[in-house]
Amino acid sequence: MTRFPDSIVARMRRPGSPTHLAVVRIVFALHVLIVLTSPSLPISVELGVDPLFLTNTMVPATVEQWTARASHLDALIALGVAAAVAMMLGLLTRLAVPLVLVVFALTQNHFFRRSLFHDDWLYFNFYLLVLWFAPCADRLAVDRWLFRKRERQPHEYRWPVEVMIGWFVSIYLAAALAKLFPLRKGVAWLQGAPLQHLAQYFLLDSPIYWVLHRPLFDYGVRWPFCVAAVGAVVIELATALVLLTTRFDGWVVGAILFLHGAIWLLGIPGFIQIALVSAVLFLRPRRTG
Amino acid sequence: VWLVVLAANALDLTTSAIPTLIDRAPPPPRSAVALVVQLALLVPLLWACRSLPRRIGRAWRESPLPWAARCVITTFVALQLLHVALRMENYPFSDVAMFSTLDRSAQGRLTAMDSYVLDDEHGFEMLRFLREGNPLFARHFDWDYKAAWLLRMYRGSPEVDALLTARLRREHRGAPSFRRLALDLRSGKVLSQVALR
Repeated sequence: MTRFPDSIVARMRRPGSPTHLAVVRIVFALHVLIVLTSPSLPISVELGVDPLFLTNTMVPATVEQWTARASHLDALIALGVAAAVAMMLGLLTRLAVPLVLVVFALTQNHFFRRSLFHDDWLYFNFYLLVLWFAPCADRLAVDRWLFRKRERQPHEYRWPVEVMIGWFVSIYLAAALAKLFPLRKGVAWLQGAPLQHLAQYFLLDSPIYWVLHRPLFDYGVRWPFCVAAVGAVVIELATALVLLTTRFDGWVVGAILFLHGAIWLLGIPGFIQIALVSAVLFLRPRRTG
Repeated sequence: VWLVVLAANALDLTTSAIPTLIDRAPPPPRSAVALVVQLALLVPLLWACRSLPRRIGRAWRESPLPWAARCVITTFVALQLLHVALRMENYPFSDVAMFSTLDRSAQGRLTAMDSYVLDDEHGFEMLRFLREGNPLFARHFDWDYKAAWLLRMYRGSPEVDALLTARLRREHRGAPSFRRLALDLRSGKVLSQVALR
């Protein structure tokens, strides 16, 4: 790793900031709180719909069926909200974070299986898993007054942040690989027809249409979508730079926000909020050594 | 560079090993000759990576993560990588293949879209779920984008009809009508509409 002295592996051993890790805990708890109180969960029960054919899960069927009952889902959400508030306050954090993880994973499984929507769970199941093992309540937490503070090595505040950044990057790299492979499919995808279809299919759901009452340009023309397809893959692959150096953090996060902003304008919501919330990870200490 | 080429070849094989339902227009199958060549190219890749398990093992042992965290996180990441390599999805693991499928081909100038429509004295208003799930643009509902997406998935179903009708009644609006719209993709104009029910 000497070739990349600022790589993610090297960074994991560097001193971290307990305050930054605490801010990450608070911001993520707030986001989870927003997700858990989404009207989507009660509406899914109101609709009484079954899991969709295209979704698979590792959650056992008995657990899933238990979760799907209205009273159980309400109880789970209530438990999750209480745990997320505790996590935000840093109150009994060792207990609150795993509780939030379990409730979040189960409720998002319920939502995903009925909506086929990939959003928060792709990122936050892992973030919460890491926070479970992280000393994230050593600052800005009620636990500081309740429990005796343990002496910690400075890198104990750093590795959780770097591991979560690694996951953030891996999502975009996986998205790029899914677009490019199998190669015969990837070559066809890069020609832009799937993106063109997406723009046309979501035309009436696009903020561009709501404002202009027309497409931004003639969506029947292919080449802009070919450029956009190549650009999207380049941006996603460029996230790998974050694994090697911190020099391009701002550019990479900016490009990801731009990508999600463009997708939002085409009619697909959700990811821009997640990327903004995840960006708090990049506020880690910049100095090396 | 050659290592990247060999890795790409391996990924090409693994990502096409299991047929996936998300490919509505799957690429043509590879020829037997191509398959043999691609399988043969795995040999130099395995040779080049022969020291990788030892290096990964050493990195794992020297990792600054506590032992329990290392075990749990490594297992989670390994399962995720497996799903990415095999291009399959099992919650909570995903190949992150959204928007990566070879879907139906794009339309020409005209397309048909299903939408709920509200008639009023000035004409009609399209009731779009994702608009209603956007706090900046919503006109009738206070959903978020998740609720809007969920309802959009089941548009046209009696359950969604009932939910919309009940909530619009509170605004003293009539029931929305579910219609197929003919849309001009260049101008964005609705050319005609037919009631689906």
